[in-house]
Amino acid sequence: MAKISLKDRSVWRILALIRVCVAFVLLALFAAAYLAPPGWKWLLSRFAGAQFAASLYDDGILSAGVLAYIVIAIVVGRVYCSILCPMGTLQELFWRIALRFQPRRSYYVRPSAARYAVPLLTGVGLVFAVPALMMFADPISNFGRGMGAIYSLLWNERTSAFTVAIAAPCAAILLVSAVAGRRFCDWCPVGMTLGVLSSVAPFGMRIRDGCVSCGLCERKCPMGCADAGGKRIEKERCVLCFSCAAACQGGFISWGYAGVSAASAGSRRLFLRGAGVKVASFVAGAFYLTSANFKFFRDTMPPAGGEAAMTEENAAIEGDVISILPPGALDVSSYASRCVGCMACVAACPVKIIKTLNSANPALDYSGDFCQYSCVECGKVCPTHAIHHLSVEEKRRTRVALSNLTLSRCVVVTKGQACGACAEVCPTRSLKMVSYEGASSGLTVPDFAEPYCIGCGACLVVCPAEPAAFSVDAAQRQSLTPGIRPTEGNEDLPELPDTNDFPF
Amino acid sequence: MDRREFLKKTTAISLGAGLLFLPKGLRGALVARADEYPDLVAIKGGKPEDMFDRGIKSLGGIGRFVKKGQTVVIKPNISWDVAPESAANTSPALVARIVKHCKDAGAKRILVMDHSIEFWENSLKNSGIETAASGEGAIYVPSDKQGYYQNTTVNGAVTLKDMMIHESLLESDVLISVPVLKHHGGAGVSISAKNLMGCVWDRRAYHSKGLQQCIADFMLARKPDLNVVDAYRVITRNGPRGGSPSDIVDMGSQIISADVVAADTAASMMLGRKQGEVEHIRLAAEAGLGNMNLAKLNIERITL
Repeated sequence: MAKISLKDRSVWRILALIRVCVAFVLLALFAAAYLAPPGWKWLLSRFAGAQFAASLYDDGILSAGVLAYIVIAIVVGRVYCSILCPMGTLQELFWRIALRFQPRRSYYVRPSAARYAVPLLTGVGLVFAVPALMMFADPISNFGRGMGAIYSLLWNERTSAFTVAIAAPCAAILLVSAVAGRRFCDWCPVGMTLGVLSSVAPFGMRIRDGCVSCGLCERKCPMGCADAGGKRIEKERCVLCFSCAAACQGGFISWGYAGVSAASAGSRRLFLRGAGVKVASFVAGAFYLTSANFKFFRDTMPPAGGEAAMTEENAAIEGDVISILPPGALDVSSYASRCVGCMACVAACPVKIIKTLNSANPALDYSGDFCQYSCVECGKVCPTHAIHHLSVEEKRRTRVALSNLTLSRCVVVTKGQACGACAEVCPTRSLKMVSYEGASSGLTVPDFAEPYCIGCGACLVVCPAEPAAFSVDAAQRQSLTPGIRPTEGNEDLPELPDTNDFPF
Repeated sequence: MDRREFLKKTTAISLGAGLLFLPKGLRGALVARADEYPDLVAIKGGKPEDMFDRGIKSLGGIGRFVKKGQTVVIKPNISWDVAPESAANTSPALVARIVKHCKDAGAKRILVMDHSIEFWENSLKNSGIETAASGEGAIYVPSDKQGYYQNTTVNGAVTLKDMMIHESLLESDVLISVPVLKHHGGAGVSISAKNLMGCVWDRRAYHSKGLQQCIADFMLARKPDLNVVDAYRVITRNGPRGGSPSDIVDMGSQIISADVVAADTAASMMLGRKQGEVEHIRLAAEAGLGNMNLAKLNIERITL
């Protein structure tokens, strides 16, 4: 039996094939989890939760998730970028497809050191709870907005232009990738940070002696990090796709001891510059990894779990008109500080009421349906805990908004006919039909008890009056209500006939 | 006259003609037998499914209503995403048993439908009806999109002159309404007639045009062939959703009748309503959809 050696090109061809298959299967599953019709979302929380961005937002300076990513990056390399990152794989897919129609336009690329500003700035944003840069820089966020737009076009009858427009960066990244490969990966804070870490270890893809700089590796490298002239694979940028090793006719490329940073060669000035960049990149990476947990906003931020996310304080309703946030989002500042706009909640909402209305932070839209009383899907899939994963019990008491009844518009009052649609759907009985004094015909009108209203919007959605007898205003801060409006003793109980016999 | 109608009529006429030639004694027995069945059966003191077994036997078996090769639509109340204990939806065991009877009678297709108020998949799952009904071989037909409904004019309607009715009702031979008896804040009570509101796309139209009249009007387009009122556990206040255990009274009963007005009248009396008190039942009776004068009906009362 032939000895299997890592120096054997055929081994690398197989490894490269396995890696491509794994990455594409994971991408397909992730995309399917996003695009599946409502109600088929059990995969989405698993995938979104396994993303780097999710572990970044876990509690603790270095959570178990982040630590795992660090260790794997140091020991093996950018495994996350290699198989898990949907944006990376999607770029590679576009690039591979495009290569079938056009010759390759770029080979080895040397990106500017200025890119290290991205994790630094993203980190600063995270510290000050402004994830705007995260939204543009994070791969899952960009991927999610692309998927979110397609999902909305597929399943949502009324998709706003805004929802499609915010997917533009994703589209741009993919267009670039079709021409030039995984270019976004050079500017991605996750990729850079993992790359910096992986550059510490002396192991990685390397080119051994014997290389004739034929350039085959460069041709196949989706990252543009194979430098045939310099006879090296840039370890920091390598995403472990094994394409170079599979391509090398001489079998000179394999994974192994790759030596310390290439910056050690050359003039003193070059060395110093290289070392400076190295240090800067480390600072940027380390800062990025921990920034979400510097938590300048820690005081206002409850733990990631659903427990005790809410207070019993009554929500302030007055104030600027704001969007109604998904249940568990707490308040605008808390929500905006964590939401990376990945659209997982948009894709997860079974009744499709979570939409991007006027910001990339999704909000509730009651124009078609209402927030389901026993549903916590949005919190379940949210990878950054911008929407806390409430228990069903908690969710049923979570006030996201407050309804407001204008009885003079009610059809019972205006038309003198029976209705009760609002009380029928009101899950907390904060709306309840009481006998209408203005009529003797047994008509009932809704009676509204504000303390029990959770602002789910059901009354507004079903109200037949034009204009509706209800308006729903967002809560400035979400809070817990006492629950279902109690019915005291025999209140409203009809006089029932003897149940031991039939009354007819 | 379409083919189906033609076949039905010729069969009926030839059967009727055949009767004339039978020996007098046999003829009398056959005709009398049909008259012997009660108009309404009220059962008490058993599980919903067992009460149905007993009740439908008194009515001559499901075969009187479901013929071999027919398509049956069973319309339970699956409005809410709640557990069976809450009594807001029809008992899943009862739905399953009715499906089984239909299957035994040779029904070709047995469809279960309801235009749920809360998210339909969750309502279907958590009501227990999905598992129960599919376990017996019924198919739940989706009803969450307008495309599943067809425009229908309602001849003779007072207010609900046209509506969008679920396509399964148009394709079916038999409609069995299986409501759960409940108090209802707007309509007064929710029984079989109100249950049929879950067959239309636009519930809001009912509320804006006039709930009581629309409930009655619907049945001019499609009257249920059999009504099975689940009065096992009954929401007596805060209906139709209830929410607290104190809203529920264990009545342990069931009412079965081919006459929707009679079934609803009897069931409403169990909630303490007087005959003719509930407006939509009275309107339906006035439209000739059934008999609300229970004194004139042959009622069989059974205690298990």
